[in-house]
Amino acid sequence: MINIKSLFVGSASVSLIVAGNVALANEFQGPVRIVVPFAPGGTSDILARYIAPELSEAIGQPVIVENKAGAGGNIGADYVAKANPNGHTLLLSDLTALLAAPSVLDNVAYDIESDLSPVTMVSYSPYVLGMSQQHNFESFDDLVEYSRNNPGDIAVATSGVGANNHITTERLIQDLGLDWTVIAYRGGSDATRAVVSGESDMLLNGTTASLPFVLNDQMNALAVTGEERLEELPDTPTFRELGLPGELDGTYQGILVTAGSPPEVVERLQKELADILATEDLQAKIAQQGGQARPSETSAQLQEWMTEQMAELTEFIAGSDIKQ
Amino acid sequence: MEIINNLALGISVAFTLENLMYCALGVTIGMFIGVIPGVGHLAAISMLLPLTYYVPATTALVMLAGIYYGAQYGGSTAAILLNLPGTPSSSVICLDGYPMSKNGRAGVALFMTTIASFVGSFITVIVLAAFAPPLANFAVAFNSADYFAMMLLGLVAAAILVQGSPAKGLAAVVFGLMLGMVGTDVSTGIQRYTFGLTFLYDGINIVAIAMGIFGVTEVIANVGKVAQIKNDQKITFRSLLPTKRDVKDSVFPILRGTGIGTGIGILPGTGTSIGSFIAYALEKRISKDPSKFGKGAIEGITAPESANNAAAQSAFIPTLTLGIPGDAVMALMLGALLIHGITPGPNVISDNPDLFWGLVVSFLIGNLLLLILNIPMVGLWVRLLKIPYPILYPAIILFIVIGVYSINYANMDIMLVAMFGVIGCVLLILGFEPAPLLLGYILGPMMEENFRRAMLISRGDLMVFLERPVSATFFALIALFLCWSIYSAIKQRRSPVEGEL
Amino acid sequence: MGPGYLPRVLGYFLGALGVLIIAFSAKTATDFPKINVRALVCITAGIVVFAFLMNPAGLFISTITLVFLCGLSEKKFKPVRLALLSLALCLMSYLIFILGLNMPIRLFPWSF
Repeated sequence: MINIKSLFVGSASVSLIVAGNVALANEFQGPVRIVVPFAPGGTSDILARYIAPELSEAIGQPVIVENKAGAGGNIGADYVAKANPNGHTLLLSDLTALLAAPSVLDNVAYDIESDLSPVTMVSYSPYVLGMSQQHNFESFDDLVEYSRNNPGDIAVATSGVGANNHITTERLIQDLGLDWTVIAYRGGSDATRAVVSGESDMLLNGTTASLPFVLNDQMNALAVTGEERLEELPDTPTFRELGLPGELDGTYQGILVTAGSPPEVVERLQKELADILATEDLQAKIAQQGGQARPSETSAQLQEWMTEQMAELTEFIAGSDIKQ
Repeated sequence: MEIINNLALGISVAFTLENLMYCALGVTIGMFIGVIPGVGHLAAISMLLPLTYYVPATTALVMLAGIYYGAQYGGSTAAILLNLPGTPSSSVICLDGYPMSKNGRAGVALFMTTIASFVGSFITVIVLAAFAPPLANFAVAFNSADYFAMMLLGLVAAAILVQGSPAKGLAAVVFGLMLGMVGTDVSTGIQRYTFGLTFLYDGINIVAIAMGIFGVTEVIANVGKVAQIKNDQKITFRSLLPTKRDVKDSVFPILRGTGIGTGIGILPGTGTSIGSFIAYALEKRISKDPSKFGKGAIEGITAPESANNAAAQSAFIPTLTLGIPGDAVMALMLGALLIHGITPGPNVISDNPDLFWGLVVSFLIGNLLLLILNIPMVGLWVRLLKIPYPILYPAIILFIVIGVYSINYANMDIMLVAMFGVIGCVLLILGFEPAPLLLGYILGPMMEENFRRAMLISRGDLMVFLERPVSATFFALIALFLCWSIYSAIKQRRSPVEGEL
Repeated sequence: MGPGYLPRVLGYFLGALGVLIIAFSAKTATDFPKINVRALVCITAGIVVFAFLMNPAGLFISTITLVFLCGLSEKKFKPVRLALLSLALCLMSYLIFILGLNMPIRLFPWSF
């Protein structure tokens, strides 16, 4: 005969175990949203759409991608900063744009340090320095020499005042003491059009955007940022090889979450995302965009990186001509 | 010959069952989306983008493109029937389309716009097939100075649009220009008129303005009035057909409109609205009887409609051949390509000829489908007018509001619609026209940006506008227009006409 | 020519035009056109309320509120007709925007 007491204890413990598992699996109570603070079709948007289905499978909840473009990414960031801190609203964005915002814009509605918490970095994409066909420079040194002999003659296109490539251009100007005329355009495509048509002479832009033009002889690549030469451009040196300081970086995409979210949720997210970004499939997709997948090992790692970057950016921008 | 080969390739690609189906789907969705005021093709395309991940790249583009130009067409339908632009670029069609509708000629208007779209598309496809690479190079050769000159020409067109008092029309344009200043100044990054509000950082959303001034104002003006269209007439198929006169009058406007639309559409960054405004202005300027514009002139709808369509299709040229998207919609298309592993850029045509030519031929198929779909539906659309207004207008307001919301999911955009509804009413009572205002709003920021940039590059040398061949041509055209206008104004003065300043 | 240059110039120009229009309007003075104030207020209020309700309360409630507020602009308030219309519109918007276009809009206050 079955001992009723043991049956009772048995079922109690079984239900406790089941309840425990259910509680563990239910870190996520409902759909998760990845907010992309840029228009659909951009780098962040594409990354989000690659990641969303994988994440959805991993956590067992629907993952929706929402676009909230505007103000250089700050509208979407503001939205996530003010969202419910249950860890279900994520932000996938170009990190430098957000970190530079307080120094470049007059009023940013949220505070990136206290309102948003890092989860993981996603990818890194180096910059290519492209020259228009108007000048026939063979190397970066030629460009520098020409610039010193003809101050103000070289026109550099940027994606906008305070944009990432504007900051990088200013770094070059300061490091080398050159006199370039910086002209702001409406975004990367507009700037590319200007250089291809010869209206402006030079553009620093991500590999995805610039590579096709370089390979088609509509732009000359004189240098790339980052640690290694690009596979597609084996003859183009890196800035480091040319002896320039290493902060000449590219674009970093990362995922942030509303500050104050439960730590278990954030940790789970970071772990799942790191796994997704380590798969061959996603690495290949990101490489096709011209970037490299760079998952963070811990959220704290991203936090450290962001704090460092922010301090450096704030200092640099304050000492430069960027903000008028 | 090159063209024949390319077109043959395109036909073989476009006529597969899958592509045909998706083309039909895209065009139908686009048309209905276009009719709903407020919801634009941008929203539809971005919503349906994920659907395209699971189909081949060509099919994806065929469908998205179908939505794009289908929406242009649908927007005209709403403009004609309800005086509401379904898309901002259809605003100019309200000017003559709605009066035609009030005269009982709604069916004719719809019919002719369908034909205009189709013919415009046909011509554009031939042009694209024959001249795609040179056109692309032409597009890229445009400099800031050239853009400025072209925008200035557009501004002159705005002056021609004005139907009533010239001073008030001019004031409307200037007010539109000022509204365009709201936002971040591109050249310096400084914010203007944003009052510290982040959502104004990128300026006032054009859909919010267009819907508020045209749509909401229109509704407020019409609420409570007795049914405006006499519903006694039976709507026969005969009554929907245009007269010989209509067709004859439309031939050249369609040709001119297509030319303007193609020319402007291939330039990155111009959008489809400018083309339709300029086409309208041109027709009014060269017409033997300009006073019939604004009262239901058939040229006033066929020219802008073909310009719209041509611009929408030509916009694909710089996007695909150069990898330079002209505006947000094109950027979406590029994004769709990226997801399919096709890197947009100068090599797209040579690496993926079936994609490009299949797409180009699908434009033709799509427009044919629109023609086939809409001719029978014209009767249906006209019957829409019979819905009692008290039932119709809450629906209109609802769709406007949801449509605007769907762009950025921002509540503030809806508030802007309310605000511009009020402003629109004020303008209406005081006798200011909304169309010149909208054109000023579209042109203003681009003009200023390009002028300052041209100055920056030329180091302050004003002669750059006359030195570059393209911009010199535009300035010559502007001078021509101005002289013509002054001449006809003097002629009119000779035979005194009752008028107000 | 800084960022403030053109706005200022345009402002002066607009002001000058305004003066011109006032000066010449004495000649052609007509009656002040009538505007349906009730419609203006109700419809504007409807839109504004929708803007506030949309996020917290969801699409259905906002739609119903909008339709009723707009309906107030007519002389004869017909609640039954408005109720039917709002239900029909809720259904239509659901079909078009949520099913058809996949928009991430919440329907009810308790949806995601």
